[in-house]
Amino acid sequence: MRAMTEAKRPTTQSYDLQKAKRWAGNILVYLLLVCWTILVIFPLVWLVYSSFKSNKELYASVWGLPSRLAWDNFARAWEKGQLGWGLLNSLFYSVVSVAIADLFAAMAAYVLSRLNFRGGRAIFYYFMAGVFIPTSLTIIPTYFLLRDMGLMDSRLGLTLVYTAWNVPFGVFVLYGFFKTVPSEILDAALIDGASEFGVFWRIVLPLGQSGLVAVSILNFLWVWNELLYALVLVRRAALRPLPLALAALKASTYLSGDWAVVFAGATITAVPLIIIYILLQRQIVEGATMGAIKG
Amino acid sequence: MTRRQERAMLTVLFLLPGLLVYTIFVVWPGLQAFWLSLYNWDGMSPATYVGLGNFLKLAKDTLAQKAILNNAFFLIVPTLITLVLALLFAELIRGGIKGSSFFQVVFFFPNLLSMVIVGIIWLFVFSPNLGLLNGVLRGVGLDGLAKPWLGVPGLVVPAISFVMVWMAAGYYMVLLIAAMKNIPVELYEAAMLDGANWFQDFWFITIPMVWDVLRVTITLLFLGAIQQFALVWVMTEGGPNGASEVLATFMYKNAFRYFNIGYGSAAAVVMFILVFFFSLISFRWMSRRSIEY
Repeated sequence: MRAMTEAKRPTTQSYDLQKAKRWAGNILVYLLLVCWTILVIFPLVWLVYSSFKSNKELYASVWGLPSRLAWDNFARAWEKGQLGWGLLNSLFYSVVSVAIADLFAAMAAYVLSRLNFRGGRAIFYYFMAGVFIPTSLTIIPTYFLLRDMGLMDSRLGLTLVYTAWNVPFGVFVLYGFFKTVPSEILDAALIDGASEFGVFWRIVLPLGQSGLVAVSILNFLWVWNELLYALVLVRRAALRPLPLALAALKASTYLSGDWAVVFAGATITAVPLIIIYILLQRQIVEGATMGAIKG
Repeated sequence: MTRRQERAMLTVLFLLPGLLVYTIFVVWPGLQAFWLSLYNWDGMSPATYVGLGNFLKLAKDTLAQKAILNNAFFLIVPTLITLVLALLFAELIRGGIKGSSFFQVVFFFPNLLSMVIVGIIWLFVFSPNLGLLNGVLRGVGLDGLAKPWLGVPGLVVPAISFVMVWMAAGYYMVLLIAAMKNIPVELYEAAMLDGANWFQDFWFITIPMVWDVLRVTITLLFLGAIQQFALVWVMTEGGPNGASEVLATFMYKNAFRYFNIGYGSAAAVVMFILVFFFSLISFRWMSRRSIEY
């Protein structure tokens, strides 16, 4: 488009001069884009190769390549940081809370979008409020709530809290999706003898699939990256999700001075993501831009 | 069972689980935060009612003031730079220059990393002795510029702001490119016939046509800046000496380190009010400006 605009513009300057100008402009554009590319990639590359250096080498030279690959950094990071547990816990918290919240939110959104009953509108707004409540508002009372319920420092407690936060966003998005399902289809199914539950399970859920996928991705990413709740609600190392395990590993170096282990830990958590991203880049970029609401 | 009864039962059964879990773990604690902010409480001994005392104390607390100023800095500076960069990159890339999809994929990536990983990576980059930045500076002979970036009060907040931009710019660029793809080509063709230049195209067509996305972008960046926690926590824990304190770290420390439950809750309530206020004005003020051609 832009190229066409340029080409058709009436020329007052000589052709050569214009060509030179465009060429210089392109160089400038590429220079800028390449600079940002380096800024994005270089810290990651540096992180990965530095994690193979011993502590001594880390301090001796910022740039230098490792003289020999210190694989034991990774073993130490894995063990000290309990990263294996971190990975499993993160998967557990994300998958379980997203799955339960998907189900609860879909059920509520179905009823709210399909059946007209008194108070339905109010209940919808009540759910919507949850999208705008900052998580930091509730963190202190939640701590005491879980303490009183005996759910402090437990997988169940943290999972329940994550589930609860995922529900309103799910209702908010799925409500819109379910509204687009033509009611003729549902009425026809009801006349054919399907139960209300059957309509929900066999017709509305499959038709709202893309909405469910969008909600699941965004909720999953939120739980996967969450730090504050995990920091407050979980004490035992074996219950920590990955971000907290990594943060704890970092905090441990204040005493030990063992930075190589943190480099290795960060690499262990970042590299799988990089690989997945290289394989699925298009789907991930599209999926993440689909719904840009949840912060 | 009649159809009517079936419907009524379904309504209740379907609403109940979501309503219950959301009310117990989100709404109820949210309300309690307001109530707690009116008390002095250490979490164990009986609480004493102090009215708005915690908020008055907050207004006079220099550390709290510093935290709010830092939140304001994060709200304005990184947001502006992110917006400008995202718009610039989107405008440069969307024309389909060679390698445009490569640039998109690379620029987007930092957004996928968690705040904690990003914080740790940049903690290393800014580190005084083993850090990449000082290594680069010394490598090109600018030894004098090498600094303990996160250890200097005047530098720590700009340094963290840079990391926020590093993480967000590519993400919003991708959102903007998607929005720009939906602009009808005819608009640019009409402008071309009228002799519009590149800047006029950009200012009078592109910006108004992607305004909805920009509005969402600005709102999200604002809300993120007010609630900023993980990045600051991992990189500095609010230090050195409170220089990078934000409301969230201030709240966390007061509640869970010093056991000033009421005081921490008051900070949380302030955050809520700011979030509420900014959501409201960004939706109200900006919705008037979206243009339909």
